[in-house]
Amino acid sequence: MGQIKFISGLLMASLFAIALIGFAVNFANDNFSPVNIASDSELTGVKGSMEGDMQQFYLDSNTSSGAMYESTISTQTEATEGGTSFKVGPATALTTGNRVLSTGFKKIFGSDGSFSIFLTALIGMLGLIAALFIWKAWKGGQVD
Amino acid sequence: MAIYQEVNLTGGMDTALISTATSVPAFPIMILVFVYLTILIGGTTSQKNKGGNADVPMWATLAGLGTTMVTLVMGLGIGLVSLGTTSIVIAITIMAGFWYFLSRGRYEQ
Repeated sequence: MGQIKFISGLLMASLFAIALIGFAVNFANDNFSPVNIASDSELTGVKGSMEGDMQQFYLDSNTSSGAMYESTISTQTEATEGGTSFKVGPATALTTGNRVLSTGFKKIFGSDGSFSIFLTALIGMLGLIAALFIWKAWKGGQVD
Repeated sequence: MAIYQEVNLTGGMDTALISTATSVPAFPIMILVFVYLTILIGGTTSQKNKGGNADVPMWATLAGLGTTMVTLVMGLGIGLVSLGTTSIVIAITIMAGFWYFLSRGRYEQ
């Protein structure tokens, strides 16, 4: 399991947990169920904390991706100054990916903020994967 | 002497379930365990018979999701399951999901 798969797996598992707890709470609220998972402070607390983690992941991946795109290396054997030929493609594709994800997400889930954490986390992951692809391809590592 | 009060079987399925759960509090939990193991064992066995390999993490997650749905429905009305039981089922499903998302594929190194 490579670095990208490991991070993606952890991220998806966290989103799965958030979705499951959120679904259980909303199911109980919509159906006036006497057994409401919102009464469990631990699970709801974990959900809130994981949503905060996802927001932080988005900010961190944005920061690291930006630093990656702006970084340069000095000219040396088989390496060009700045390496822009490697960085332009994924950076542009990332912007397009954001637009596609945002459009589809808003059409399916609306502009309601309750599911926005998924879009935030997915876009953050997309940025991180793009930066990791550039970095790994650049340094000659295995891209997976 | 009966070990528990006999249920009224002529009042419909819901009455029978509620009466049994009132007499034997472990009954709803036994149903949930039955649902979970049926999906898990049935799914893995069927997949292994057809493909030679069983994706146990995937079936554990699916069994957890199925059991969660049954648990949420059983929590409606008078509430056949308690909050603790519901929380434990959701926690088991979350752990199965972590197992599934971090598990390797069949040909993955």
